[in-house]
Amino acid sequence: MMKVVLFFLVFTGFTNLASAQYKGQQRIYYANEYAINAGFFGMNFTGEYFAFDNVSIVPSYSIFLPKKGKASGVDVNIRYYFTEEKLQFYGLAGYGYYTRKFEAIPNERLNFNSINIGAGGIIKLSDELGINPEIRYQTDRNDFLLKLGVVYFIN
Amino acid sequence: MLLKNLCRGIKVLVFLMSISINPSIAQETAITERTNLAPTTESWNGFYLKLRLSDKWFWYQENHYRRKNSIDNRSDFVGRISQVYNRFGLTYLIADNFEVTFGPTLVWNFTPDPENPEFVNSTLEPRFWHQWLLTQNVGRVKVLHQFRFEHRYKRSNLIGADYLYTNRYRYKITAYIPLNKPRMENKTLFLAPSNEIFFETGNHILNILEENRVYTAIGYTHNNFMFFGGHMWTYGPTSTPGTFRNRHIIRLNLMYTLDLRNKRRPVIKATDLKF
Repeated sequence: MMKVVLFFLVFTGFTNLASAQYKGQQRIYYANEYAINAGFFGMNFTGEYFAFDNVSIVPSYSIFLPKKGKASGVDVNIRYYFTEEKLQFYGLAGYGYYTRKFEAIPNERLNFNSINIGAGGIIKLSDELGINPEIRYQTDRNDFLLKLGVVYFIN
Repeated sequence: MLLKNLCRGIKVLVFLMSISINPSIAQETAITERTNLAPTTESWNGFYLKLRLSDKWFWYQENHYRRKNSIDNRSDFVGRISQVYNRFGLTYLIADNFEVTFGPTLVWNFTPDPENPEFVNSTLEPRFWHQWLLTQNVGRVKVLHQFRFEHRYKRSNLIGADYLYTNRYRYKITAYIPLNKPRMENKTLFLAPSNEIFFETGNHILNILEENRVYTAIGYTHNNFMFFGGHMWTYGPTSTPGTFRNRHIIRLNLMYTLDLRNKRRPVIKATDLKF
């Protein structure tokens, strides 16, 4: 019971602070990703545009680095921000397309169309720069992706 | 004549260093003679981007498109695609004349023989790199001392080849010599000779001396742009002890710098505006 109360207090505390990430804001990210089940790293480039206050659309492209063959992913997510200022927490949902090519079998390629569900945060270091940890699950690919990036606040 | 002597001097120096750095190889194989492979040619085209994000932080980026000579013609410079090379980083200005940059690099290495099915067309080479750059003014000449360290995962294009890890240590000295102005500024025609030496370590590396590069560039600054290019000659050992390769490389580069500090227009919530 105590935990529920604590969660409620913390959540309402955050939402009270959340007077918004404002419509029209834009951000760009560079991140490194790690696919837990697949066991390899990736390099990720992300853009973000706030279509509404608190709500942003986030396209991204990842190049993964398997030991053999190639892999890449394209994601389009929607983020909802619960808090603002120095610590900005968000939940995300969206679509993820992942493709994997194998080296030993030429022309062999696997494609996955997934729903993304996840959460993350932005730790604002200055007016211009911040750090972005994130975790998301991709349903069809059946993998968890850990992400750690740098964000530049364009406006 | 002077250039010829300089090249000869570098060859002797690299050869002596390659032996003295790894004396066990020299003793085991009794290398007393040096074999120089015939020179090959390449063409490197580069775009450089530097964005000032805040008083202390910059975004740094290099994108290169590199070609090398055909298999059957060592002199054509552009016969085969060689590399697509992407370097990114964040630069932190420690002092006006000293900065550090760190970030990832991702290189596409293309097959040495496009007709050979034993090679995959391209492989990825990821690196983490950091660089310590010291700038020094010597009269009207701007001298740059660049210490660059790269941690590389690299493999051959042979199907099924494993990645191998190496550390690379580089030092470059560059002199920017303004020709039509008293110092480097806008609309300056300049000459930029440089020398860079590469060392490499790793479990499979026999000779830690990797290469020496002599590069003479001519360039021009125009507002936010810098155009520069020239000839680079590289010389270094191959994986065969006592055998050295050298390359003639034509480089063409464009650099764009932009200060974003006064261009940011933070979005303000409408209700926060006071009239």
